Amino acid sequence: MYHGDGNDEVGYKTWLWGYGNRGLSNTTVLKRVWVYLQPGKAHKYSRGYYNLICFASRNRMTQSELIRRLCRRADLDFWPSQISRSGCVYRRASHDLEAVRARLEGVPKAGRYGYFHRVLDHKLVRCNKEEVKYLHDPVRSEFQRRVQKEEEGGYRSLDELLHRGEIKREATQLYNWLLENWEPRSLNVLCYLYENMMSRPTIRLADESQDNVYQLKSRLTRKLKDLIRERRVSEDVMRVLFEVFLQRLCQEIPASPTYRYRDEEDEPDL
Amino acid sequence: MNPIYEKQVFYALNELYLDSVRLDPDLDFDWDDLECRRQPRRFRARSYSPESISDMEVPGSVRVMELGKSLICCLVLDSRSQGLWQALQLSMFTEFGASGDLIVKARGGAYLALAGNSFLLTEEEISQSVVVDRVGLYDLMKAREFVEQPDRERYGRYLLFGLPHEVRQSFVLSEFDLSCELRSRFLPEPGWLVLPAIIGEFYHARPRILFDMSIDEELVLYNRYESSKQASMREPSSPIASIHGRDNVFEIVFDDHSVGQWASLYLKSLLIFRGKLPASLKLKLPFSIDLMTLREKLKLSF
Repeated sequence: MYHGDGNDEVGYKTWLWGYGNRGLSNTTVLKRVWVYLQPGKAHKYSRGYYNLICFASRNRMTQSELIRRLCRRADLDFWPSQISRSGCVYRRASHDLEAVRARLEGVPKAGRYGYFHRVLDHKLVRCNKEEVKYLHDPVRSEFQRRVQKEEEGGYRSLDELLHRGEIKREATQLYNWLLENWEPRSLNVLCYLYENMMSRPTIRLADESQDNVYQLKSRLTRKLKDLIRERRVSEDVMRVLFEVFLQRLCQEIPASPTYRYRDEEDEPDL
Repeated sequence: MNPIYEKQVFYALNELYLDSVRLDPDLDFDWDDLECRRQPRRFRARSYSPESISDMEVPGSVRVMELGKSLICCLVLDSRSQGLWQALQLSMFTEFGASGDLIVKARGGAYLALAGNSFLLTEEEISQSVVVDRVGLYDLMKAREFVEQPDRERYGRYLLFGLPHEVRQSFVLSEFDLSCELRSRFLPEPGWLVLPAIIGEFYHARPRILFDMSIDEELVLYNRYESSKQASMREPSSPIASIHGRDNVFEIVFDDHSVGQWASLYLKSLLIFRGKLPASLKLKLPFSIDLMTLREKLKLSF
């Protein structure tokens, strides 16, 4: 992403001037932002970035004014902040692009701009929040910005977590540990929970009463909490485990409509 | 390790937060020295309605929906009977969090949820909302447990050092105000009001906030009376026919003319009900209070 220098501001204003008295409609801005977000378009469509700046300037004006005020107080130019916020919206929106595209397909054509606008608006607020925190940071370094992003969790998407070797490794170890150490009946409850959350039809625990299922769920949740505490598992590892390994685990664990499997019904409960 | 912020950051974030829950803030742009005008055009997120909702997509989705002039962000947890979905209100302003709140990490970042701030949404509302993010299965499980588990930690220290009390208070009151109408629609038991568990936090920390303040000077950050001032604020005695009860459990009976009317019921500065008034409402407070004081503190706005 080209972040530009001082001249960019002149370039932006000249570009905006070019639209004359009629100005640039929000619909056009949104349409161009959408095009600009498409893979490979950013390089071919260099002026497209101006549309993002335009979006960040026009929307959430009160927030922009607050940031302008903070910049003034910190004796900083407002323009780099505009660039930074637009870049942030770009990163977030392009990261989420495929999911947004899929959702937009289900929205009638007339409502697509409104929908897309709301999605971008949500991202802009988050970017404004990051900017406010950054402007209050006395060091105001790029390192701080990166640390802050990690605190926010903004860029710890599942894909990114999967690319983090140590988290993937830990999640794999935990998966193997669960297979070795948890009884199938506990894993059956875990899989019930998983299939239930995924809204998948399941026969697991189908013969148990609602009260029993509630108790089993509560017990499993406590067991998971103990696991996290005792094995010092991070929540990110649990996230990867749930997203990636649970599906595989539930394919391996046979479904039982009762808590105990039929062949172990006479065994004492340990 | 949590970062340490100056107090000013929290005030600035609060300003940001209050603007972020407003629907379509003024899009007019001051062009400064540029003599260039644009035609202002407002976007409304109302005109979309996907033809059908897939069950697979709904649980775990973080959605933004319009409610009056406000925007509500919520996480859809699971489906309930009669086409209703349970949702938990979220805010991206995790800096205002305290222990006892829930932090969920979605694909786009972290969100904060307050205990007791869940409600039911209809399928129509779900289909008219905008999906802005998604949480993973682990966070969905955590959120469901947060709503179902009654014995979680209610009150506690703030997650970030230096968070001013009034900012936290303003944030919490605003969050519960936003969802009050939704929470008032489907009361868990007919007539039983659910007071935000969090009011206990205020009461223990600063008992004055609810009952002893002569003016709402501590709520300047969040001007909640802005809209209600315009509406007629009737004397508490007129629409409230009677109040029964003792200690901390009360029944508020409304007169026949008020029943069925759209109203907001305030307990001092706390909005506790917004919707069509039923014949009576039951109220359980986390502390004891006498009938006279309660009657004085209850205000109805139509």
